[in-house]
Amino acid sequence: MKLQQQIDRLTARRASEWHQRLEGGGEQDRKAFVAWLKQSPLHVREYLETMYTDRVLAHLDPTREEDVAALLTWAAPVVALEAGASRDVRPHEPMTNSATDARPAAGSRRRTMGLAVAATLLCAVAAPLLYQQLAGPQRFTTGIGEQRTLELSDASVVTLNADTRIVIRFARDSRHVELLRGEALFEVARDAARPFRVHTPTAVIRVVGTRFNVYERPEGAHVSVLEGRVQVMAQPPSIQDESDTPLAENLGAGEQVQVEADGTLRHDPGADLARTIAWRERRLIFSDTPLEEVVREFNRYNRTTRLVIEGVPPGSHHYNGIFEASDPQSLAALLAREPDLTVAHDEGVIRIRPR
Amino acid sequence: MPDPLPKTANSAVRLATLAFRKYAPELHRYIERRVRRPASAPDLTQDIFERFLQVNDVEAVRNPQAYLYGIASHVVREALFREDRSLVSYDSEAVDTLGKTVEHALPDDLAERLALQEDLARGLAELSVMQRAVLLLVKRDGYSYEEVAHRTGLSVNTVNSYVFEARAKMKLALKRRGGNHGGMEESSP
Repeated sequence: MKLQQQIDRLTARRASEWHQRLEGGGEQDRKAFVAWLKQSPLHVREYLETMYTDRVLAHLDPTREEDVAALLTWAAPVVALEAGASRDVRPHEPMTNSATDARPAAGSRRRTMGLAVAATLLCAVAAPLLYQQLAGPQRFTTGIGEQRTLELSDASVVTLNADTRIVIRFARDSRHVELLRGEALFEVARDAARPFRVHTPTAVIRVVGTRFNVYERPEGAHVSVLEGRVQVMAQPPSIQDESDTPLAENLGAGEQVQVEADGTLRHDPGADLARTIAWRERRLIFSDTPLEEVVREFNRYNRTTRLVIEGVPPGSHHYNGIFEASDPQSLAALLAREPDLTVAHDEGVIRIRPR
Repeated sequence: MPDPLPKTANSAVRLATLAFRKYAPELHRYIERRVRRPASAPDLTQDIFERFLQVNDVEAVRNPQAYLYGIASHVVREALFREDRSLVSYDSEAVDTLGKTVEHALPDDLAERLALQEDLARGLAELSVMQRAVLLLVKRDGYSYEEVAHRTGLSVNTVNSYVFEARAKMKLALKRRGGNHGGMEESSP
């Protein structure tokens, strides 16, 4: 796919997502939306066109030729899979049906064949796009302060946060992504025949189609599920096949788990998913967060102004608040008001020391 | 009750709302032309964008979408007047009449309307089965996301994402036709 087409698809998707989010959205959504519009005239155009499309869609299928009941019957196994009813689905043997043969006739019942046909259809649609990535692994990195959104050949979208490194290995029957460092938000396109796996140095995450965030930190991987279900397990030290490890854990939407360096899985019952993915809007949200972590977060986004802690004991200061990721000065101003800290501004460095 | 909106934003919004009410049909026709025959429509995006930026406190606007739409309507209307200066002279009565002529987004020319229906049908065929079913339930049959979730066994969030993905694909499908008809600015290098 040409780069321009990929950008068009992503922008169309974003605009459409905004249109939806604003329907029930609050103050934060509205502000973030305005910020997005202000980024580029293209966003403005895209949004206007999306609003137009939405109006035109009211005139969809006026003669009611499409049979929704038949469509739903046909797709039933796919829905069951999404709902997590069956997670041991094996990839199906390729079918000989052509895509046109497989279309449902009105009122037809093909419940048992549905999944295989759907998988075949998906493959048929995806096939021309796959060749780029069958060739070999692709590597992507972001520097400090940089974010990047990639659309993969299977239409999955990966957004990389700052200071992140990933390798993508797609094959005919598998989709592997290695998150070597940093944080990424995955929106995985459904393809039951090609499970999507994310490997980090500490964790393995297996999904069919869903949205989740992975943040690989020194103390372990944080996995947060926004939609659908994923299976999380510790990265086995030597075994190649992760299906042998007993530590697999199923996570549903709204759940968050931390895979610690020793392989322990720890649930985080108070997970705040809005906070987890706030990085996409370049906001940093802290709640009772130790100073050293606050500083680490700011430094992921800012290359020109680095924050350095000198001699302040870890765990001695905790902070709540919402910050613009690109504005470490706002943190410096806050810290300068602490009675037991001093803040010194050097060339490109803000030093935080005990008073 | 004190008004939470700053004065400038407030009056700008009022103007934009007014503009939208008056010029919405022109805006729809313009976007329609832009989406489906990009080569024949001037790109007024930059103009709209700049006016949007000009309001200091746009964050305080309660309904930024409507506000943007209002600005866009106004810019489009102005551009149309510039284009047709020799044919139409500005008077408020003419503007009012124009505002009443077209109530919905569909083009008024029969051939165009049929072509649009064709594009919609083709776009629909490109969606996945579930996207198609969900989009029809929401847009054609008027079900809420909750009702669709209940009927399909999907979560409301999943229904939500099916709708926005389907809408994005439909938009691209409408646009592709325009691109195929020789829109220079849409072709990529």
